[in-house]
Amino acid sequence: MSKLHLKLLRDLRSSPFMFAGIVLLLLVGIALFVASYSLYLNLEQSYATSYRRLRLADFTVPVQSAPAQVVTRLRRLPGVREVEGRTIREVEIRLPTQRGRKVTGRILSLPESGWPRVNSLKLAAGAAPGTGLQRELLLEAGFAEYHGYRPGDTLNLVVQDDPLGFRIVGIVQSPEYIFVVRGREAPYPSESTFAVVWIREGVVDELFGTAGAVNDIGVTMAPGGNRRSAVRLAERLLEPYGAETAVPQEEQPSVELLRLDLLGLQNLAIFFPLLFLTIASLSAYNTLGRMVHEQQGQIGFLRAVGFSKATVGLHYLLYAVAMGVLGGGLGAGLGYYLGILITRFYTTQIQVPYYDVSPRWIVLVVGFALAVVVAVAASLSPALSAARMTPAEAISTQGPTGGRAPLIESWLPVLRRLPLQDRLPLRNFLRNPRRSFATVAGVASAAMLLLVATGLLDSSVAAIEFYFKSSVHYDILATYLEPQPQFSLERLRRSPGVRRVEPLLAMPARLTKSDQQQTILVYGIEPDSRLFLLYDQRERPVAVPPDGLLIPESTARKLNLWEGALVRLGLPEQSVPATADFSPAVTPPVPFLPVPEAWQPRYRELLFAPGRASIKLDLDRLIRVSGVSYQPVGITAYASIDQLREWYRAPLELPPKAINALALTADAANLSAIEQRLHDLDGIASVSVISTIRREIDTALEQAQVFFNIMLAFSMALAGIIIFNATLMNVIERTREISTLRTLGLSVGAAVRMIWVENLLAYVVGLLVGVPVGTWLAGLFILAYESESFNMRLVIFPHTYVITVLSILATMALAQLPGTRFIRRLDLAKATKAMG
Amino acid sequence: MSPSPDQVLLQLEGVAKSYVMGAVTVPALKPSTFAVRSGEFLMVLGPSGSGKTTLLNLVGGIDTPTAGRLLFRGEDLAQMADAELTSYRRYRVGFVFQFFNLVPTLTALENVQLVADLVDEPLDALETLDTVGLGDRANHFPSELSGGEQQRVAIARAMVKRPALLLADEPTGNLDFETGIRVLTVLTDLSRQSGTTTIVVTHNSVLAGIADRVLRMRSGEIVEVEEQPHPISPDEVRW
Ligand SMILES: Nc1ncnc2c1ncn2[C@@H]1O[C@H](COP(=O)(O)OP(=O)(O)OP(=O)(O)O)[C@@H](O)[C@H]1O
Ligand SMILES: [Mg+2]
Repeated sequence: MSKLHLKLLRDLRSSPFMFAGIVLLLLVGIALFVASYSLYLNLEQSYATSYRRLRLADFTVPVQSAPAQVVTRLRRLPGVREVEGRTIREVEIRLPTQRGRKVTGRILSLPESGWPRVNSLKLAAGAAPGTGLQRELLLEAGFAEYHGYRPGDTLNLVVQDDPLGFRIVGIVQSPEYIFVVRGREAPYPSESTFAVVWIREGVVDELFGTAGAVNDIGVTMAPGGNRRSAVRLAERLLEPYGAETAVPQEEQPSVELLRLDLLGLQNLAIFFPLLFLTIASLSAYNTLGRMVHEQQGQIGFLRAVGFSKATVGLHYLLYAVAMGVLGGGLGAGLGYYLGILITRFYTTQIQVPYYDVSPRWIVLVVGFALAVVVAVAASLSPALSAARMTPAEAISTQGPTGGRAPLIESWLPVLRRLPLQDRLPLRNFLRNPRRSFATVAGVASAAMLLLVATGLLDSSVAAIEFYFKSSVHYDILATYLEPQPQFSLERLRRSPGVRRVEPLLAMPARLTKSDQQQTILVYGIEPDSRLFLLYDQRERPVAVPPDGLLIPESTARKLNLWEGALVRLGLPEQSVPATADFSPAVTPPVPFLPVPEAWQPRYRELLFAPGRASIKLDLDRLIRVSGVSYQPVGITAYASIDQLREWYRAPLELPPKAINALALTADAANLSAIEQRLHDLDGIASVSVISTIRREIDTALEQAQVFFNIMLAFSMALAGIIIFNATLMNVIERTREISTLRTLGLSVGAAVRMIWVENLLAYVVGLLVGVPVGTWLAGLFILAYESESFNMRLVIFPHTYVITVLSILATMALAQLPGTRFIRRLDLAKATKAMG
Repeated sequence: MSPSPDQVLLQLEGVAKSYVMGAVTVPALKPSTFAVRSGEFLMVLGPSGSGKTTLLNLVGGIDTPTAGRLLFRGEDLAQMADAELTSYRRYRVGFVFQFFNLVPTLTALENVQLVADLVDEPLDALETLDTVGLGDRANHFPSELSGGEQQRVAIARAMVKRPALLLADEPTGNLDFETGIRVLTVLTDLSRQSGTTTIVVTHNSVLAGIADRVLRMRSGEIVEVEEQPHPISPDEVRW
């Protein structure tokens, strides 16, 4: 080995903290990148594999009712591989084990025998249902897991008021319900309140009288088939049967939510490690710069003795390569295992039929290369400056540099009255800009990292907290099967323990402006409501407007609306299964709102008359946007209940003073009794208890927070390393200076104090820079994680700031300890010896 | 007596160096003309700040003059690009610095080997250390050596590549008298035995007697060149 390489190795060994620090920074950044990007790829591939192997429909056309034979005609369309028609109905399911709790059940019909050719299933336990007319079903795995159902158990489906017992023969996973959601408006796993079951076609037809008819048609495309034209042809073919706009695969709720989730994940998987690596490279730049500065004498010698510019430059680059290789290699390895772990954890709450968790070589290689590139890029400028040093100057730089009193002492004459010993730290801080910058930058980056990570956590907690504490002031929300006159609430008001009951009319709406449209749920509430509290975009309370519609921020953004703008109000294209769910995120059991079972008489006629042209309900009004509201969770618009009644009365033939839901508050002691009472009440479709929903949302949030917490853990590790390193380096680098002062008679205590004060100075400046910049960066990261139905505002709790600052100062104190020991043990004779 | 051209190793023609410090120009070396002869032991004497180091740095090719020509075997150092200067330093010059400039993380032997690896036909590193009397300290790190020992390592490091020109800037400046004499003995022995042209800078005029020629400087000027046909050996030097 050449002696120059030996020098490199020895240098690395002689200041292990410095290099270990940078290696660790790179390691952490790369590990995070590899882990999170592998997670992203693992998930993406697992979903894709599941979609492919289980033949998820490339598009789906919901119809009111079509003859089953139409499938044969569809199969002949060019580019189409497979077509399957099925019947989808929603019913109520009673859970005998949970005091008769009602949940929503969605029935999907299975072919007479075998598995579906489109939207197939993976059997997780049990067996396929028999081919006869037995009451057997397959249950979706998420629901089964949540409630502990196993093959052999019985589920009660309520079909036209009759509870019918069905035996669960198998537990299945479906590509349509990897993320178990009922619709796009409930973007969190609803496996506790929503059961998807598959029943043989014959049985379904018998239950609902749908023999020979289907209402949902799934199509898969042959490779290279033109989907766009197939969609057009299929829609035209199915038009006589009340076809709705086809739903392409990417708009299927589970697929779309998983994709949005992946998108957020991908953003974080790129931007967070990027932030880490930026900071790591800043740190590497500082360290190398300081090393080059320190080794000026040696560089001068090397150049004087005949080493070329290139050799010297490459020598210092080699440090970077060594650190990059070490950090990248270890980081990629660690990231790989971490990736598997996180993937496992991440998928505990979703039902992925087929896993594709494998080493993502490209990510490992990119991660490794990234570490080397970042390290080399960071040390390019220090290495260049080493190469450029003229030997004569480098050699003669032995003496002190820049020893003037800083300007600040003339601005602040008070400072001049301090004893020199106390002025020294300030002078030192200002005298050596490189060192001070390194410490300040280190502290600032640490603060930034911590604030970005905690900002994500705090903001998500605050969003949920805001929703439950500030917006939702009721304990229970119940929906009726049919619209009721408002006076039916009176009896409830007198029930023991009930404190307040408010009427609610909840209606689905389609808002259209120019070519943009959005389907949304509108809550009609009382003008003086105390259970539904509304906020404007600046989070100030607002009352529900007497006329017009208060729309959520995301809708305003999507449709480009503002206060006072006009928007077209219509009914969503009726679609029993596909968009049956208009309940906002927090009111899961509002199952039948858009086309409630209650109004079935009216629809049944349409549904069971194949071939009849669809009758569109005619609601088409231009209404005024009376305001824009902030809602962290879900998308719900608000109007005064009277206003909403006026809009919907004619098209839906509502009774006067109609309500279809209620909200109430009750004494905690009576809450479960009241819940039970509501369940038993005739005409009640669903009862949601807010505390239960809160628990479910918290669980869902925990999953998202796993990722945030990992980020936070990494950030803390990184921040710790940066601070520890910067502080320790400040001592080690100044061995000679400190020992000279010690030789001159400065006590150990005074020397330690001098360094402490000096570091503290750097910390204060670092925090002054890092805290605001970190807050700003956190805001940027939040934007990357926002979605249509989950709106976070940047919130960083005051105590988070306090904890961040304190933990940085604590790390500093900790890092001082080895430094102090170092000063105590300083061998003055050795340290003052000329070492060049 | 002017030297015949084949005896000249290095010819300075009006060589000058000045530093611009804002508005003022510091003439570190005023235009000087002078010839360094092949194989001689030359001593440069002068008070602090008189331009000794400046002169040595120019001759050694680690600094470039602001005026004049510096001909090494007929080639002008002042005109050389950095790469040429680097190879000049690598193959022709050996440097001994006042502050030793040893690489602190390499042992004595490794410090010498580091330089030996640079050239095609170096001396044996360990033997060279032996020559300066440090064979038994080969595996010590600089911090484990005394100042004089460090300086001798620095000399060994300069010798090992068999330079045509050995330059030493205050090699004894940081050493006590006895140690200084030991170091000078090593240098004179090397010069006499292998015929290496040697230039030693010092401000200690007592040492002048050991040189073949003495060059005196004052305020950036060469004020006197003195021939010493019969130099004394270092151990004859007395205060
Ligand atoms: N980099 C520089 N910038 C400005 N002036 C310089 C620089 N280097 C040297 N000088 C000036 O040039 C003059 C000669 O310096 P030089 O180092 O050659 O002196 P010296 O004879 O070696 O002194 P000493 O015996 O103290 O080492 C001095 O006045 C010095 O101040
Ligand atoms: Mg000098």
